[in-house]
Amino acid sequence: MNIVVEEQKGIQFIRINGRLDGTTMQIVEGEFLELVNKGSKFFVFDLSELEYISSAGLRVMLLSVKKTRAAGGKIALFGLNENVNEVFKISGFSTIFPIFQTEEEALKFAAS
Amino acid sequence: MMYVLEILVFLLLIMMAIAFIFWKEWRRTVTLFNIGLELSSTIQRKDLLQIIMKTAAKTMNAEGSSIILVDEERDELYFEVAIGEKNEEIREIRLKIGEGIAGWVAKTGESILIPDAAKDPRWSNRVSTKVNVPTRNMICVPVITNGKTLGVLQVINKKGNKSFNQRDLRLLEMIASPTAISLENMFLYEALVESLETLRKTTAAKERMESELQIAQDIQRSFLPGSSLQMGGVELFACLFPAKVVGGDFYHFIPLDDKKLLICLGDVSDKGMPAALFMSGLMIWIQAKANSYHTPAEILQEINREVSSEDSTMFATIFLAILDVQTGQLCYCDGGHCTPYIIGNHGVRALEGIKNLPIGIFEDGGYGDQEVRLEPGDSLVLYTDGITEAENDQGQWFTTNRLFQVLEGCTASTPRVVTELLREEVLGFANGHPQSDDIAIMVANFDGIRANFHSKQKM
Repeated sequence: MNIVVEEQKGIQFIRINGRLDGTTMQIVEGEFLELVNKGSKFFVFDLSELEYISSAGLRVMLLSVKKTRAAGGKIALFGLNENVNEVFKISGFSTIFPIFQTEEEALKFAAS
Repeated sequence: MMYVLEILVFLLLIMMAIAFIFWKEWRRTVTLFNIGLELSSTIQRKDLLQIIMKTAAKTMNAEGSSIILVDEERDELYFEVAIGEKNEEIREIRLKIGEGIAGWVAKTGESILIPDAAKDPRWSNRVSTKVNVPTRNMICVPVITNGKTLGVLQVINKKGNKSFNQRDLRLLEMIASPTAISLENMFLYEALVESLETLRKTTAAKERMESELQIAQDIQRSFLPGSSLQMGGVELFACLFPAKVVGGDFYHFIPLDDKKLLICLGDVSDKGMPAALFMSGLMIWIQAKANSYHTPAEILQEINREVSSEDSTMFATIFLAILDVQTGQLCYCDGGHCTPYIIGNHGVRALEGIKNLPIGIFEDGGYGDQEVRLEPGDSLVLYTDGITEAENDQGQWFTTNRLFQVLEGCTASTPRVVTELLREEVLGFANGHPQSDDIAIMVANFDGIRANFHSKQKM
């Protein structure tokens, strides 16, 4: 798994590729918490290169939602492949995340 | 003639002098040899340090002696002094390397002879007052082996109110060299003892941990209701295979009254001990809420309220249903769990429906009920993603497709057979690749004939 974080106009782009599971979730958690502690509250997760997400991986996504809500911020996801989308759908997680097809739509939502 | 006699006396004196020198040299060799023997007589710290000090004092004709060791980790020197009337108490004194005469010797690795300690600026008053011996003169030499200073050896106050000289200095340096070897042996021995002790402790801790885990597994198993049940027209079989000793998958079945049976199966979003603890809590909440609320959605809503908190990200996917064992009517609530299957005369079909959130996500999460009717002969198949995500050596997954195929082959089998077949297929697929996720399976079959027979009997 690899994670790249970049900022555009006050919005943090978190791009994850590879597998997000019990082992790699800690890296994402660490990166995310660091951003939150620095005061960031608007996030766009680029999941277009994410191959797989496990239930432990979902925990870090849940953490991001909880922290963003607590900070009064916004979060948006885009680019989920078929497998990852299925996991979000089955687990009901698709109801707690604004999920978009494209980066532009996700950015528009997070910035509004 | 007189002249010859004088020469003879002179020669005799020279010979005696030479003999004396040889005798002294021989005595010194014997002394050093004996010192070597004495120093190698023990490897125990307490005895060895005593022998070193006694030997040095005796050989050097000194009032006292001490062996001061280097503590590499703390960059300090330390030595033990006996205090109290009968020397019964041992106190450790520590010096910074560089502090005092011993500290200077340890730092520079050079010997030092001090004819008058009181006049020497390197003399540490701190030590002098602590050991309570007025120091007149002293020799201090480094104890070195393989270029490493292990400590310093010092003698104080030559007996008979005399002072130490250069010859004494050389003698003490000679004593220092077998001392170094015996100290090095002592350190090696202590390191060995310490590593054996560490090994013993680690082994003991590991055994304790394993036995605690074993107990935890027994406790976790005791929360499960067993593996099979026959109630009215329903026959049920369930099993659980944790990937580690304990795990986060779970199932439950509770008869609520004569015709209502609660069944559920779920998966905590973690593995090992944290998941097992969360699972244990859930099992108790399921038991506690099952009788107080009427529908699966109400029960899940209540459990969710109990286990959700703002900071926690621990959650569990869960499928919970109440089955009428006389009619086959199934009321269920799907908390984000793997889609169940219904197998029977019609073949295999997925129980698609509204997906609610898993429990433990948000305290105020809403849950909704759905209904389906099991036809006579139908079986409800519940499972966790340990089945569909079981991996083989090539990194391939078992997948829902394979699950579907296996179920297609056993639509008429009993719950026990379906469960066992599924388990065997997954094991065969993994082909020895270690199980990375917990597996839970539950199959509940509704048999119309048995149900009718049962209800007729009651009438």
